Amino acid sequence: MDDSERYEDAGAPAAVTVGPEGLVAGGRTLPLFAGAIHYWRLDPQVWPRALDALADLGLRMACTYVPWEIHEVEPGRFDFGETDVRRDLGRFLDLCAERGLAVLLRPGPHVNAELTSFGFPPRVLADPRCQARSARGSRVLVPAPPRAFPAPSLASPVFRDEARTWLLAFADRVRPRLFPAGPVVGLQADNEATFFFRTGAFDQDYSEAAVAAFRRWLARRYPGPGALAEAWGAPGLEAAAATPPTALNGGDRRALAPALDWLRFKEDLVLEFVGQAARTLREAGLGTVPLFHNLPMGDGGTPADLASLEREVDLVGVDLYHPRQQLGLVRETVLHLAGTSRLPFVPELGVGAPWYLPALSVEDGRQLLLAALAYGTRAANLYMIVDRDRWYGAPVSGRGVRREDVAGFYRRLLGALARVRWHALRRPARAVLLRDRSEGRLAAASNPFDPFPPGALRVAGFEAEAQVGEGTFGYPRPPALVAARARARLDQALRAAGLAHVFTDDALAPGRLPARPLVCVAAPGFLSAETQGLLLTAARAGGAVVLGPDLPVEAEAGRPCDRLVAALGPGVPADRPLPHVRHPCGAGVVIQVPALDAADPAALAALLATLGEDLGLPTEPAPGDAVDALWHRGAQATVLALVNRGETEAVVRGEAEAEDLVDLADGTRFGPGRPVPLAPGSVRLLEVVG
Amino acid sequence: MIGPDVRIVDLEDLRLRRLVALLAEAGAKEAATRTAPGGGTLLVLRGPDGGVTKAVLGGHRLPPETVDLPDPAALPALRQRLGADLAVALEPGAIGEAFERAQLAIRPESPLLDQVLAAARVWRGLVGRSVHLDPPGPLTRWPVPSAAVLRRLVRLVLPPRRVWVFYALERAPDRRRVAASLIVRQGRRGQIDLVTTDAHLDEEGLDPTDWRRDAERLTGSIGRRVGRVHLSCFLEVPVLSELVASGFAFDVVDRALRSGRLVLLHRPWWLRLLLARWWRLRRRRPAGA
Repeated sequence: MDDSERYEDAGAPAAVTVGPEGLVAGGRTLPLFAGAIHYWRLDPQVWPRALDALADLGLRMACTYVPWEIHEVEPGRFDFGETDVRRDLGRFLDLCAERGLAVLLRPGPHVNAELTSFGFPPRVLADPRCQARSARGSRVLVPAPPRAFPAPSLASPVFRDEARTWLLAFADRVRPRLFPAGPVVGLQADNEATFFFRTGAFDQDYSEAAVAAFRRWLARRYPGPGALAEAWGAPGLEAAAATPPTALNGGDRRALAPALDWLRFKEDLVLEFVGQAARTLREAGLGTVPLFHNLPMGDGGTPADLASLEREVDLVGVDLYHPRQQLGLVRETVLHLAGTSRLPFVPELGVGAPWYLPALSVEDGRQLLLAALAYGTRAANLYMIVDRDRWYGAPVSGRGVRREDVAGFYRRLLGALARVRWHALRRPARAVLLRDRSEGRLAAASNPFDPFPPGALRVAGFEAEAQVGEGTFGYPRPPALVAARARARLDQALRAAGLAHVFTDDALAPGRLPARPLVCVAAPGFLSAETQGLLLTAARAGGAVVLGPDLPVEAEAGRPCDRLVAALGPGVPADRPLPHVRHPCGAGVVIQVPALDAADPAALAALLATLGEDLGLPTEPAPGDAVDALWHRGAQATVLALVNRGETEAVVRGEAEAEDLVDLADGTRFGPGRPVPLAPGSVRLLEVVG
Repeated sequence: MIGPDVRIVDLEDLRLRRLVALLAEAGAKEAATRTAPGGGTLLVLRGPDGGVTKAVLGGHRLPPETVDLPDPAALPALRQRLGADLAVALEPGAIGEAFERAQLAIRPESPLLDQVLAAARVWRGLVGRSVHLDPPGPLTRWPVPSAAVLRRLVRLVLPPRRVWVFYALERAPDRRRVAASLIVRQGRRGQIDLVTTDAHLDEEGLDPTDWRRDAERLTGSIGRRVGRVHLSCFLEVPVLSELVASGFAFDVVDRALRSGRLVLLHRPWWLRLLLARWWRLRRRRPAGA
């Protein structure tokens, strides 16, 4: 973690911090592998047995939501076990402590948890002053079974006050049980903060409070006189009179400014809301343990901003609930986590699934966990370990009884992960595929299916090119389409070149870039000032930057920005292995590939491989088109992860003189040169032994 | 329909998953007989001038210039040319309009049934206007019923405080005998308040030697512990596949009932009526028809 980013609680020294291998409590590293259990949904007589079963799987940490709706008995009055033993959070925490289990608590205010109102008291949701609004003024409904309900507005002061009252009441009960006095070692500030899954660019929030917040935001962004009018191409416009855009209807690049500002504002609104929840918890004396947050799966773009959120809380992860057929999405998500977060953490890794989502089988859950680990997850909360209402597939029944057909796998694997010290292994990757978030905002704003959420399209199997609009906005070609294609080519070529790589975006702090990296980015006519700054940092430090098709001379929406170009030396054109132009830059180089979005994959891979060799980058040759091989190394163990994302069986054959490989999940031993079979949609974590 | 305080417990992954898989497998067999090669859904977005602004087939982008749809009436031909299972063409702003209308039509305080019907009515109202479908779905063929009518129908089929029981059984001795199960209870207020499986009964199983006899004991137990059983259906897995694949053809139902591979222990009046009508129709049918 970059020290400049670390949150320091002014009031009390941290008892627990986030380290690169997990939580650090009392000077000891506590690997962050937790299991989810919902105390209020279980008979309290079952709590001891269920916690014993959880611990018996090899987990040393339990995690639970603490829903506002469950504990509020009347406005502003809360029950923590005084009238209903199911709500006795204190007793539950004491039982955890008796078993040596550390605890993560997730008080919301939003919790989801498949509760009918996502954990909000219905009275709060019914208050018009708390509700988000569509562009035409209607309530924004969250269509979650068993009943659609109005989404709260993150900008509403009334909603925020209500949430604060709840968080303070929660804090009063939990403060005495924070580590080291109690078992609580981490707290989650809010939950899945992406406008309740309705992430369409122009879907919400147009409530009075949100519009007022947008105007204040514009005034901060464009402080000079006439600056907003100039940026939006609207003579005489001032922030106080600006109205949020409700669609993107073509025009030139300047016409993009209101839409891109609107999306940036929405990202900042999420950050600010989560930040306020975190501040409330810290001010209430809970800042001595780390605060974390989870982003829902499927949201790789706006408004989910992982790197920026990690400046508001200590740790941010992304949830995974993918079936075996979607290991490609798992790859994208976890590589982004690995390249961006200070500790790649999956706050909800599906063991079973909610009743209303597409079915996730026991085998899906197993392969999902293995795939998440294979691509670099170092910390996870297995959700759910103990079965409950509106859920299926957990390894421990709601009566606290282990289901051996499910539980055996998790016990074996968790034991093996502890033995090889998985949390301490590293997958060295100095090649980075970076996404320019302003291009991501353009993709979201031009999404032709808006207000349908882009994340849902992604999970539904829409490829990137299918999700973006085809307007040119004054650029020679549709920028969102060009960027989607170029990014796909770069990913494909990095893989073909056998370079271990991760994903990130321009919200990453420059200090978090690997040393002498290879940074690849799609540049469809523009790049944000942030992206240009990151590229400069990488090149000046002796790294290589590969971009295309354009060298950026402006940032988004036609704003002049030649930060990168101004720092480049004269370009030297070359034709092999594909046409490109090399520009010296500091101790490194910036290479423009003018036809990047249509580049020959083999030629692009050859170019990247040469650069990788020059930089001495770690390699990970892929054994097949749909088979990934990823190496995780540590002082005590080396693990080769093999992932078959394809639809047919694959066989990977090791070197004849290599060591034995032992499958961490089932103990199968593969001798030197012996073929390793991989079923479609399956993963093996193979420890190198001998 | 489903109440806001519904409990959905002890779904037991294997039971639920197998039921979904069995239905999907049988459904796929049936679908395979009627869908074109190529497959996938074709989505076409039309611009204000009638030109195509975006086209997606099976999740993959199609270059808009290769998809011509000057008139929505040409959608069936386009679907056939591209080999899509389903084609949807949307006029400009259709998705936003659908969202907005649905939000205005759905009352958050209403039960799920009312919410679903309100959304269906919105969809129905858009089809043919800003949404074009080929082939037209069932929603476009019949009017959307009112919630009151549907609720009365639901209460007839599953009265308040009554339970539906469904078990699919495997015969092979080395495999789990209960392949899939579902137990659904209608609450006092006429909304489903419990959805569960046989796992809810603490693993009370069936006698492998005679599951038909044991089924009676099991429904008795469900009657005591969950609620009065209104309909109980026990069948063997291959029968379920045949039923779904045949679209619940009476001949298949009849054959399974006669062979004892489908057992309906509790037959409510509406089911008896339905079966009687089927049998009557069958008797009237000329031989060989």
